Parts: sequence; C-alpha cells; structure tokens
Amino acid sequence: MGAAPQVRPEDRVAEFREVFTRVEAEVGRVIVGHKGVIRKVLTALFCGGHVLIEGVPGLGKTLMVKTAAEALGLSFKRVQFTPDLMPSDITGTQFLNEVDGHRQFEFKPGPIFAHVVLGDEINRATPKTQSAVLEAMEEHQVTIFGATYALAPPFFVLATQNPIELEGTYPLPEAQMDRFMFKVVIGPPKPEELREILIRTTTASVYQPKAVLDPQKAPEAIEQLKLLVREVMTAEPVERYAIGIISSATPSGPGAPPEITQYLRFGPSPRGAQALLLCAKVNALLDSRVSVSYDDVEDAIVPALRHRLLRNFQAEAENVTPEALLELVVKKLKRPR
Amino acid sequence: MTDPLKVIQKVEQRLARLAALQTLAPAFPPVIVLLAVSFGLGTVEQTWERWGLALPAESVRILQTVSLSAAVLGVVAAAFVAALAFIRNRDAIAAAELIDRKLGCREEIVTLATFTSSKDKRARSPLFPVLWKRAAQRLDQLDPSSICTFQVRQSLRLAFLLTVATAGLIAAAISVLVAANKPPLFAEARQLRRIAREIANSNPGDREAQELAARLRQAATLINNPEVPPQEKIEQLARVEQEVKNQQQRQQQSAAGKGQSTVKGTGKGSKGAGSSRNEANAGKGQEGSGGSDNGNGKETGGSASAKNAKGQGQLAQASADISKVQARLEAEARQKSGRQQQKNGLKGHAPQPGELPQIASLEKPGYTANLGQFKSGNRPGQEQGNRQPGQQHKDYGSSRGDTHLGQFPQPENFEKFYKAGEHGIPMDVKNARYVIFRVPPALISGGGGKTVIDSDRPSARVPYANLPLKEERVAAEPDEQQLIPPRYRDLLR
Repeated sequence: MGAAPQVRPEDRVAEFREVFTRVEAEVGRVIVGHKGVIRKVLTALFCGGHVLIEGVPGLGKTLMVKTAAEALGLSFKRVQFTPDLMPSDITGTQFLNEVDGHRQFEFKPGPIFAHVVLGDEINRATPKTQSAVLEAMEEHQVTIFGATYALAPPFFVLATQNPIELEGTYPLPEAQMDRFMFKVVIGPPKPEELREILIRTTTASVYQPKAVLDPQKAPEAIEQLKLLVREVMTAEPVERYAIGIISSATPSGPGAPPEITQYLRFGPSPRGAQALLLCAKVNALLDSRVSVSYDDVEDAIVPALRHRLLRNFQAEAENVTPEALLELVVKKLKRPR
Repeated sequence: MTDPLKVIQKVEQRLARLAALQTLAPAFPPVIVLLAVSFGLGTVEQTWERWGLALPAESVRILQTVSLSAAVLGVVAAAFVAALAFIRNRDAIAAAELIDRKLGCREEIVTLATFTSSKDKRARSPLFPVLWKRAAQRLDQLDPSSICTFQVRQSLRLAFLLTVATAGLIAAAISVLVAANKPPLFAEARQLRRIAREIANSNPGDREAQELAARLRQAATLINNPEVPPQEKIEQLARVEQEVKNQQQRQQQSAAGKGQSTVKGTGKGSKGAGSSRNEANAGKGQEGSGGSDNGNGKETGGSASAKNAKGQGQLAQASADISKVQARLEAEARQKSGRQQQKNGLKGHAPQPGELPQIASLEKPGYTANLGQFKSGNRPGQEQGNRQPGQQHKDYGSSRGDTHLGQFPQPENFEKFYKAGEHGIPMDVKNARYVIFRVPPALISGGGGKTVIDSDRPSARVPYANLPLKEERVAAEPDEQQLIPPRYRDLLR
C-alpha cells in the first residue's frame, strides 16, 4: 500500500479558495444579498468557530445556514429555543430500552449531534439550556449521566437572536457571548434584493443547492481546510498590530483612546484576538495569499470584536455602538510602519 | 530565480548605510564651521583689529581650542550616532516592510523575513514554499537603490539648523569675548576714526588732508593694538600730533596770507575777502572781492570761512584726542611701572622728598617738556626698565614738582584753570602725586607782521583762533597750594 500522494501547498490553497467560493456561490443562489454575512459565516466555519446572527425574523437566517450545510455536504439540525426547552432536548438523553428481554439504557443523541446546528432564537431558552449548548460549543463534547460523547467534527453552531421582543427572553451573558467567534448582524434587504427574493420564493422554480463537497468525505475535507487556515503565516508586525487593536479596545489597555475608557467596562478577551487572526488568515487564503496582511486583520475587527466590548451605562444611554468604538480604535491605531 | 533573502539583506544594508549617512551628513556643516573658526580666526581677528575689536591672544587661543575640540567632538559624536543608526537600522523586518510598502506586496515580504529571521524561532509553515515563490517573483526585478533613497531635504534642513545654531553660539561667544576685552582706548580710537573720516570727506582733493586722515586712522588702529608697547604708541601718537599741528599751521598760514590779500582788496569786496581763510578757497574769496557781484563774493567767502573754521575745529579735536590718548597711555605706563617696582621689591616704599621716580625721564636730555613727545631712544619705559630696583633718583636741589610729605595736592576746584568753554581732559586726578603742566606755546613774531606758533615749544591743547584771549581772572584765592616746577615759574608769572 503506497503512501498518499503529497499535495502541493499551492494546490491546497487553490482548493480552499475554490471550495469557499463555490459554497459561497451556492448559498448566494439561495440567499439574496447578505454577501458579507455569508462570507463571515463560512469563514467562521473554516476557522472552527461559531456564529451569532442577530436580525429580525424573516430575513433568511435559517435558510442561509441550512443552505450552507447542504452545499458543504454536512449534516444539519435546527433547534428552536423556547423557555421550556430542556438541555436534554438538545444534547439527548438516555432512555430505558428492552432488547432480548434485557432492559438497558440507551443514549438517544439530541440535535446537537450534527455538523451544523442552528439554535434559533437562543435568547429565548433558559440559561440552563443555553449553557448546555455553549458547553458543547466550547468542548465539542457533551456529558450525559456521566458519559461523555464527542461531537463529530466539523461542529458548527449558528445561533440567532432577535433584537426585538426582548420580553421574556434570557439575553446571553457576556461570558457566553465570548464563545461565539463572530457576531453578524443582518440588516433588511435593499429594494432590488427584495424583488429578487420575491422572484425566487414566490415562483414555481425553487433552486435546490448542490453539494460542493462529497457528503461522505466532506467532514474530513473541511477539517483539512481548517488545518490549512491555521498554516497561514503571520508576520510579527501584523501580530503586533492585532495585539495593538485588542489593547486599544480594552479600557485599561495601553494606548486605549479616552473614548474607550469612557464608554467601555471591559474589552475583548484573548478569544477576540484569536478570532481576529483566524479570520484574517481566511481572508488571506481567499486572496490566494499564505500570509496575513494588515487589511486582512482590519476586515475582521468588527465581526470578531463587536460582541466582546462590554459597554457601560453611559455608552448605552448615549447610544455609542461598539462598531463606532472599534472604528475609532482602528483610526487612532496606526499601522506599525 | 531571485533569492528573496538576499534582496532583503541588500535592502537592509542599504537602509543601514543610508541611516548612518543621514545621521552623519547634517553634522558636517557645523563641523566645517567650527574648523573654519578654529583655523581662520587669526585672519578674521586681524580684520577686527582694524576696527578696533581686537580679541586678546589668549581668548583667540581659547576660542580656537574650543572650536577645534568641539569639531573633533562633533565628528566623534556624529560617528557614534551614525554607528548606532547603522546598527539600529540593520533590521531585516524593517527592510522587508519597506519593500512591502514600495511594491504593494501586502506584508508578504515581511512575513517571509519574519519566518527566516534568526530571532524568530517559530516552526516554518508547510505553506512557506508558496510564500517564498511569491516573494521571489515579486523581488525578481527589484532594484534596492530604487526603494530607499537618501533624504536630501531632511538632511539639509537638519544641517541648516545645526549650522545656524553652531554659528550663533560662536558669534555669541566671540561677541562676549570682544565685549569683555574691549580695548581701553576704544572710544578714543573711534573718535579719531570719525575725525579722520570727516577730514577726508571735507577735503577730498587735498592730498595732505587725505594723508593726515590716513595717519589718524593708523593712529586709531595703533592705540587699540594690545601688542604694541605703550612707549611706541606714545611715539607714534606724538608724530601724528605733530602732523596735525603742521596741518593746523599750514591752514593758519594760509589764512594769514588771505588776511593780507584782504587788505588789498578791501575796497572792492571787503566782506568776501575778509572772511576767506582757507587757502583752497582763497581764490573764491578773491573772486568775490574782485567781482562785480558783491553778494556772491560775500557768500562764497562766508562758506570758505565756515569750512576753514570747521577744518580747524576737526584738527584741534584730533589733536585734543591724541593728547587724551597720550595722557592715558602715560598714566598706564606709570601704573605699569609702579606695579613693576612693587614686584621688584619696592612695595611699601614711601616717596621721599625730591624723589621723582615716575618722571625720571624728565632728567634725560631728550625730554622736551612734553611727556608725549619723547625723542627717539628716550622712552620712558626704557628708562624705567634700565633702572635698578631700589635705586633712588638724584635730587638736584629743588623739589622738582614734588610735594612735601603729607601735602599731596587734592584735585579740588581745578576747573578754575580752564578757559571759557574748556572742559578739560576727563582724567581721574584723585590721589595724584604729580601734576604735569602743558604750557601753551609762545606766540612769536615770525616777521612781516605775521604771528606764528613756535612749533618747537609745547602747544596748547585747546583750540584757539587768532582772537584775543578773553581776559578773565578769578578774584578768589586758590584754595590749594601747589608747587610749580621751578623751570615753569617764570612762564606762569
């Protein structure tokens, strides 16, 4: 049995770009507009992170994730979070089963055991249930009755939350928000996009997305692509720039602008820096480069850090958004040249 | 294919060299200025001396040494800073960043430099060959000299600032030293120069006047020259003073000649002729007298008279200034002599009756009753220099102007001896032990009805015209008793 043929690095980069763009195109055939959101969702997938999508109902969040999963050839499960949803409803549970006259407990996996899990309106579930999901997101495993079950890679959670109708909801704690790699905000479609949506959804011809990757080999292929992302190189000055952004966005950090000190209680955690750099690496690969540039980092700042800035009362009262503060940080932090 | 690392290394070395040069270049102009001051100060100083702004040799030497030291220090400091700049700029990452910026490589070259740097111990990524190839392609046609150039403007600006600062410092130092070492006779020298200029300007066609002006300028330069001994200065000044007097005499003789011609032409134009004194303008006066237009002759003659009077005034002023300088130089010479004596062991030696060490030269045969007019080979300094320490001078039986012990003259009410309008020499006569009189020259008859000044006699220091002296006597008795040297007693009767 001969060794597997060595794939040239250039081919790996090209393959990544091809897979990414094809999946992006497939999703784009279903979802009108929101190209930036689609790219960030796929980026998070290839980085091994999870995404929190914020948007009002009816904007195609679920469809987008479902389409992406189908295009990638991955399994997809959707969980509608409600206040009475129990953790076991997500993680699964053991039930007593009788086989050949013997009764034994058998584990029935919950919807979390899928490659792509959509947690719809995650802020409607109780914190206990939210915690079950968030633990799985972080550990890529669940523990039920003392037994630990690993989640099959690639494990990708995409949670949505509705910014309106907050009554009776359980907003995610900051610590749990931090576990999402990106927070992506979906805005309303433009008139042209809305027209295209009508054409696609109210006519008989409904496009069925095609799988870009072979469903049998997709998980492994995606894992390989995720590995490729981590192989992208980052120069020392670029790393310092990313670190500078994190420091500047931290109220007590060196070089933080006065506005950051004035409006923030806490800044981004090291997870924010990881997310920033991983996203930048994907950006570099999508540009057929194997090294990260300053532009790649800057492109990742807002989605990777916006949910990691904990604003104080004054900022909320004055409606100072995290995006505005991050923009200020980028403006004031000069590139090391 | 180009080796990207070699290109980065070339750029790195070029950057380091440029940084060193950029640091070194601005230091050159100030160093050149310092060297110029160090080596050219002597020449410049000679020019200053002509203006009376002489720097003492010690100051010049100090300034030259400091300038040279500063230049050497500047070179050493610049070399040190340049070496530091060279070392600091030998940074492959910085060079790679510069290449990235210039070529728009989006941090690919700097990433390559990071992963090949010896400082970075990170394991190379499997994607490194891709990066290498891309960098090699980008750097294939790169000319290192095109992306890093010498910043001329920046260096020039810095050099200009440093040079101006250095020149300012030197100028300030020289000004302070010049001000601190201004010659004691600076004001007098300037006054002489001014008079010389006025004489030269008022008589542009008169060769003698021009020569006299030149002599006055020389005298002004001379008295400010610290290297010329006072005795020589006194001699030179005496010669110049003599020339001034000669010029005065010539003018007076010319004026007297005009007076005679006036008598002849009185009937025709008394106003114009009677006023003309200047020889050069005499013709005009005569023309005025002989011409039909009496008014013109009067006007021209008046102008000539005024000019002549002005010229006389200038000469008298010059003479007075020279006398002042002589007096000061003599005083300095005496002080120096006194100090020398004290050094030689005469410290505390009280003057004895009949002892007149300071004017010992009076006893010498060359003395002409004017201390400023020493004959050659009869310098006071030499006299004092030849005298042995402790040697007493011989008294010839008279007090010779000395006072009795304890009866030194007090400088009180001496203004009464001044003529009207005379203010005297601004001298500090406090504690003066000896008073030197300058006797006005005797007016002698030169024959032919002309009255001339005896040039062999000491001349008056106060300008006078051939007008009758104002008869003025002070009724009050003098409030001091001062002995007059016997030889002058007859004259002052």
